[in-house]
Amino acid sequence: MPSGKEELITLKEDLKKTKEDLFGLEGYIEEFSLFLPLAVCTVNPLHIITNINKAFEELTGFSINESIGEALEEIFKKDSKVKNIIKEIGKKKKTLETELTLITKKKKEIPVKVSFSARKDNEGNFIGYFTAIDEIVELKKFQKGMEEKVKELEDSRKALFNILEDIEEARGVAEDEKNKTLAIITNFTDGLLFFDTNNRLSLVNSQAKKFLKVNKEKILKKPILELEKFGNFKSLIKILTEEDKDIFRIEFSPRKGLALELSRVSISGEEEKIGELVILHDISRDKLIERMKTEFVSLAAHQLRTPLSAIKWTLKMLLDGDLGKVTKEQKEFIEKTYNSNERMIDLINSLLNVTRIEEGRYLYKPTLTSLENIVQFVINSCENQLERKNIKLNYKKPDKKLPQVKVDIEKIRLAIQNLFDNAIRYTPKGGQVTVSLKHDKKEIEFSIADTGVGVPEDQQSRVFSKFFRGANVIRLDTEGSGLGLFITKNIIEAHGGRIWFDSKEGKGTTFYIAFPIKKEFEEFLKKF
Amino acid sequence: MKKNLKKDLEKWIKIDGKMRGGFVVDYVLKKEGEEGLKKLKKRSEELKYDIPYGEAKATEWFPLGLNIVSHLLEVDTFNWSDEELRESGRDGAKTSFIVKLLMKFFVSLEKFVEKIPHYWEMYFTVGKLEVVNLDEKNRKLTLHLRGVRFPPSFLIVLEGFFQQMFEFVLGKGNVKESKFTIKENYYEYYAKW
Repeated sequence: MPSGKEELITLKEDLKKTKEDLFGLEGYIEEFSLFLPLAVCTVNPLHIITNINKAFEELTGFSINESIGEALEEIFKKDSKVKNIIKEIGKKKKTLETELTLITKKKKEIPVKVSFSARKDNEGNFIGYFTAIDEIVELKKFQKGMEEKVKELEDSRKALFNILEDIEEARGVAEDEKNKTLAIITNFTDGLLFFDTNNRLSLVNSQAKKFLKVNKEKILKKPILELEKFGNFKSLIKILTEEDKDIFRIEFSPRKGLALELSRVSISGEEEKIGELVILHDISRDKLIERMKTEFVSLAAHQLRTPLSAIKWTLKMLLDGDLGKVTKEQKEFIEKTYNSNERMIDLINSLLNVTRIEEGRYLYKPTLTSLENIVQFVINSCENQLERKNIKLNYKKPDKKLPQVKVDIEKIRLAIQNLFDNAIRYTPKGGQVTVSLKHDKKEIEFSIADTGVGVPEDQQSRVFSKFFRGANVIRLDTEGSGLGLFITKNIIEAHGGRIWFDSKEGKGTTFYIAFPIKKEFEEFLKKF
Repeated sequence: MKKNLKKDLEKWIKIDGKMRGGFVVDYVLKKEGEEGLKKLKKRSEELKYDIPYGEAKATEWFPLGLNIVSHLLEVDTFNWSDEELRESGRDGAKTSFIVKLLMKFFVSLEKFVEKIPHYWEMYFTVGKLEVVNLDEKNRKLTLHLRGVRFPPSFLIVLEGFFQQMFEFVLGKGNVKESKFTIKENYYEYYAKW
């Protein structure tokens, strides 16, 4: 058993060792605190900082004296997250981890990851916690960058989806439009053919197939010249290849019993031509009706002409006194009746001329003659009319003798007579009619100008139509048939000539007729 | 230099007992810088006091008299105000290794107050610190320190030290009043929060 002195020596040695251990531990803790790169602080259960390490000082900028004794939440951005996490660590007393924003002494905000680790004494009592603060600026930057990239990608994806949706919608709309257009084209009552810029047939509708009696599959994509051999294409292709411009309403008949009106228009996209559309309009029914009308008019006119001639001669005999003496008053009535009958005969003759023209039966008997003679003949026949209306006639004869022309004298006389009749009829009393004849190397030109009522501008395009009468002349004179200019135009054009006019309402009208001479006229003459 | 400093130092060096830590240079460095510390060392050498500035271990025991001498030299050299003395006490509490070891008792006011006599013993081998009154309702506390004598300026340092210790459990700035009063046979510390 050791003595008291020995025990004292042992105790002193133990104490010395314990002191050395304590100092060693103190130094170790100090070194460790200095070395540890992670910012750490100890916090008591009341959330007051009780110790910090060097890294904490460096990260926060707060010295030991400034940090110790401070509430932990003071170094973080004030928000509910900080309070909640601090409450949480107090309650749960275990390890927690969260991201917070550290506010440094210089008021700089630094994103940090904060770990809380509860401390317990030997009896398991909660005595506070360690708090480790890890700077995650770079991580946050990277994270933010990634989030931005993800957002960009997400936005791009959304934008792409939107574009795709729009495209899909537009495609649907375009598809619907295309179907509608195709339905319209397919069911269109006119035949439609579309040739692309390489003159290949790229579209043909049902009506066109019916008109031309062709199988769509066989003709599609074929060049225009190859189409001749299919169905009734021949006459159509002839017109299309002969004409190089747009075509408007050219009549043709691909087969017996079918009359079509052909039009061709260029189709352009936004900038350039994309092809040509050929439209075939069925005019068979119109033609049939027209023919029936013509036949009816012809028949009626013929039937009317015989009794009208009988009436004419009977009236003539009465006027001449062949059937006995008539009183003056009776004679006046008979004369009026005779004139009316004459107008009716003229009308019937005009109608017959029209029907002949339309039926192609208006035969011509060309004779070599001078146009000057025909004009003079008509002037002579109009003298009484001119005198009755006190209209002055100016006749500008040609300087040189006109070349002779071979024309149907009767028809040309009729044509010029019609022009004279109109000039006199629609020129007020005391007016003036100027007739002129001249020629150059190519043509002989006849013109007749009046100082009459003129043709209203909006009606001038219809002047040569059948039964056309200007609105202003209908009020002025009720006798015209509206057939004279139609007949005149047909006569002149049948001779290879041209007819046109200038007119100003209220001022007067000038009609021009031109006959070709030289080669053109000689060629024309050979036809007779 | 204070007129009777040398005499005072000679008186206080003889005081009984030991004290842990002390000679903490952090506050001197913070307030006066390296030059201030050099100045302090020089004066202690001139006066033949071997004070281990910056070398003492926090848990090592040193004569209480040497600690008091060191304190009086600081006061005389730097002419610190009461507030600066109080602040040095507060700083001491913040940086003391002993306080860190005691932190496990800083979990509540009740637990903290219960351990107050123990804290004194952790630092000093002489004197006793007793809790005379803890009035939690009216938020006040009275302590009596008996069996030891200190110069008044040292009591101001202790006042700052105690105040900081209280703030560890009450929160910063929550101690409204903290003071030492010199009584006939003891010192009385009063705190209100």
